[in-house]
Amino acid sequence: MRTFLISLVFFLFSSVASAAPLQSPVPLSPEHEEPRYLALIKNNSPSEVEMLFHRASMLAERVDNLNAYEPIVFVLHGEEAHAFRHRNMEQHKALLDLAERLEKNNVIDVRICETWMRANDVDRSELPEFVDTVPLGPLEEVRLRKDGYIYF
Amino acid sequence: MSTSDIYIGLMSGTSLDGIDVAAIDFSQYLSIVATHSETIPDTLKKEILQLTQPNPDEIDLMGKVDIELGKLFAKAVNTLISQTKLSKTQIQAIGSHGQTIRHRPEFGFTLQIGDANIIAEHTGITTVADFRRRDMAASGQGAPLVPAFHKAVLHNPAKDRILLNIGGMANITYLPADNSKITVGFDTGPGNVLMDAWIHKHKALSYDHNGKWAQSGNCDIKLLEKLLSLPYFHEAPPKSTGREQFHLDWLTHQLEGFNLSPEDTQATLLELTAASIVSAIQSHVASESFELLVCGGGSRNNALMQRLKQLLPYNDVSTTDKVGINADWMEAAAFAWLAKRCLEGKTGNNTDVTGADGERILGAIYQA
Repeated sequence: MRTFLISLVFFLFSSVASAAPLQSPVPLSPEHEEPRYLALIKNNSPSEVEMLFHRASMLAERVDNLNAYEPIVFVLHGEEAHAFRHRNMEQHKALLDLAERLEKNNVIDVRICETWMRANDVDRSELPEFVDTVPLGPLEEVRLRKDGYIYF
Repeated sequence: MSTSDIYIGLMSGTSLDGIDVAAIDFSQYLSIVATHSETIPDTLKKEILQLTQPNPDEIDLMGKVDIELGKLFAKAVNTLISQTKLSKTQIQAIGSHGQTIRHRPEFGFTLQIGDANIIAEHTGITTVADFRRRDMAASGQGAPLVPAFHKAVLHNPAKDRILLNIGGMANITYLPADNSKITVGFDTGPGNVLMDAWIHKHKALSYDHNGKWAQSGNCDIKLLEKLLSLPYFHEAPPKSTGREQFHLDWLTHQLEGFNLSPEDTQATLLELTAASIVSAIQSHVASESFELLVCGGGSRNNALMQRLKQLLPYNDVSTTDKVGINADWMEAAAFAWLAKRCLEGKTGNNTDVTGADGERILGAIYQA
């Protein structure tokens, strides 16, 4: 397991090292032995998020006990978050089914920005129960980075 | 009441919302004896703003404004005294911050104007001014200076505290309950300065009362992300900033490519102030169970206060009114305290926060 995670770190870091917005200057926390991941969403499209979900799913298949690890956090605060609204469910059914399954299996943790919701007139009741909300998405990313999360 | 320990603090911040004057009695802890707020005439305000950016003939203009501000500061003090039972002989000294027209720690200089010679001459009271440059001469940022005052009067051995001053710029002071731990203090970025500039441009108002206009719009997350990506927000302290960095022209440049309504922009600017403050706390304060005490003009902006509470749901967020110091007068009280320290030959800077080579007695004395 440890070998897998170490190789995952190298694999992921090489793909995101040059594109990390809002990085905290504070050194990453040494408290957590196992790496923890935060999804790097660049294009804010449902297809990009679905691709990242598939990648998470593929990697999770190689882990024996998922409950021993923190799920990969997806903080959504752009157009991609519209895909999670009930009214768009049919159009993005595959994405939502996958998200629900990965959430249930502790592979991912989807958090939608309440500030984005307010700006887009999205009520909490319009979103599936399995997603969480956070007051401000960009700030949540800063907080997670400070807590030692690295980009996935 | 002892008459031997009353000082007057004079503060005119980057928000240019007025000159704050407060008479502070330090004989028993700290009590605010009297306060007055003097309006800055629009013409003078415009000239001050002009001086914050490079312009031709600025030395002549600076000389003129230096004199006018000195007279206005003296008038503010005289008005305060005339409205109270205080006599000038009871006042030990005036601590005048002055009006910052340039703060360039990266080049080793900072400039506050409002001639202290004139203040001393027109009030008949010894005046202490020019507090920042000695710290800079010792390789410090010259800012923020209030953390030393915050530590002296608001340290709580039972609880971690963060003092947040939201003026034109916003700055924090982290006071760990454990006094042996270092105090952290720095400018987090814009406080009211961008919101004030934006509402002035679109509605000719000096500020957004209670953030009502901001609340009528929606934060644009893309713009917010862009603004938060500014390197200043990611630099490690010690650091300080001012109007040189955050001003209307800068904002206008940042807005290129965004097609937002003015109120959506205002909502985003309010979010920027709140988010940059909380981000700074989360990144540089080694405590999660702190109490946040807010002072300065921004503490009276209900929408901003509400937002800070939402973003820090597990912390106690309130104004300094709660601990007995009116949030409107904290900065003026700090400069009264710094004047007292200077006259007593005591140091006034906190090197943990300014980065200076050592503690120094701050200020130049202009005898009555």
